[in-house]
Amino acid sequence: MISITVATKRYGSATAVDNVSFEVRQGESFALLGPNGAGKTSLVKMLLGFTRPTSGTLSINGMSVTDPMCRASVGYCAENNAIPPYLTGYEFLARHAELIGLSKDQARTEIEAIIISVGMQGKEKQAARTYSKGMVQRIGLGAALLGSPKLLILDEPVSGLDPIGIREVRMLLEERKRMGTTILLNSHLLSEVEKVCDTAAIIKNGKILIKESISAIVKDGESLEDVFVRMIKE
Amino acid sequence: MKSLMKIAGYTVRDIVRQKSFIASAIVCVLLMIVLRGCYQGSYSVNGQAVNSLNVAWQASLIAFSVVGHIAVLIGALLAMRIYRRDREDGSMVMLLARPVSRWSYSLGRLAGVFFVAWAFMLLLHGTIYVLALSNTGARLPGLFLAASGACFINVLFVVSLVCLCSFFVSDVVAVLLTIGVVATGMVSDLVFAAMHSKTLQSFMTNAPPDPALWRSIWPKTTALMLDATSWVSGVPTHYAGSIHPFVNVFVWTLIVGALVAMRFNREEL
Repeated sequence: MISITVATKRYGSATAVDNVSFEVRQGESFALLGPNGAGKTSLVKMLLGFTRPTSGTLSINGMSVTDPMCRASVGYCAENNAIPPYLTGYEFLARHAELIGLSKDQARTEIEAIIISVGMQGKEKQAARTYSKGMVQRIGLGAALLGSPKLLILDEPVSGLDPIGIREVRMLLEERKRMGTTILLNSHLLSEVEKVCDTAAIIKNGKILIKESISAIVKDGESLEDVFVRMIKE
Repeated sequence: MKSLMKIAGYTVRDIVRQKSFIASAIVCVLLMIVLRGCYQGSYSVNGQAVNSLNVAWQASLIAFSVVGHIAVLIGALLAMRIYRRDREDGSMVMLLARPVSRWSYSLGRLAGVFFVAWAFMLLLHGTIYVLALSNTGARLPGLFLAASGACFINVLFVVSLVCLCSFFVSDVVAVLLTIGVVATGMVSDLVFAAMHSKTLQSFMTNAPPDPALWRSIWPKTTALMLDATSWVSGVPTHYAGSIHPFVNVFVWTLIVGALVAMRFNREEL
């Protein structure tokens, strides 16, 4: 589903991503873990075509990420989602539905279902300027889920959410996982990652330290957090 | 192309729902309505009555030109923050995470701003047309609205240039740079037109010199406006060089529009 081959990204003299290669298979839930500035967001940005790799190739579903159509079956939720303040949550979702080619009827049905699943019922007709950060994040996640994408790229999706919201998001992701959706999750909430993802890569200074199934990374008596802290401090 | 149209549609809807835009549109229409006094008054010069139709006619010609410049200014103001605001409020990232190419996005935004500014100009020109018709019963020549339509390229050029400049300098400086380009062309075009007018030529012993090359190729937005006005008045105008102002501004618009798309394509989000 995702293939990254010897990708490098440099910003001037700083190397954000250094010769990274990995693949994420169809239906896999993959976590990208690392401290701040490790290169996770740069990788996500390259995957979505927001920045160009200095070298290397990245593809989604066999299509180069430079082809916008590779994003036809991708849902993306940013760490700091933003909605133009004059749009309502519903209008924002309707625009996304239109851009991915849903018919009006399909869009209406899907948006109504998604509004319920992200817990925004009753607030979807309010202007986004009245939303809290958590509400914006919920709508952003809803936009990512529209059209049942085959791949979900989630960059800190629970940022700004309360514990109940975090739990609801986890349940949503578990449901999508059961539906066969491939998930690339970039998160600092390791306990949630452990519950949702099958595989994880730990990245530090732009290099992948380990890429294994979570069951292989986490040894008996340890948590993912313990392994993560140990590897980053080494 | 489909995504370009969609992005342009969103841009139009986003602009027209802004209170500042609605307020400026109302103010401009009210100003046009104030003009109706020109059509209703009786005028005299040296004690002799002047044909009020002639006054209305001249007022319409001046208003035609003023509106053309207002639309250009509105276009510049609308365009100056179009990419920066999207970048700041996150809509750029959210839209480009969809199967939308960068050129569709950049040109769609540009097209949306242009369409609003152009529709604004047509609305104001239409107001003048209706005022003249309702107050004097005289129809301005049919070419009035055609001339208004022809000025679309001026608006498109200015919107494209502001967008291009906004990648390199602050919003206000982008607008000022664009106004500088338009103003330089305006001075050059007006001086050239004046030097070739029958009135001035009757005072001159020598024929005016050939224009410098830069004046022939500089964006001729004012020459185009003068040319469009001449469609209404029937009085021919002169422009520097052999390239018609419409072709000149059209080519400039293509160049600047292509540069906008190319520059945006290289942007890192």
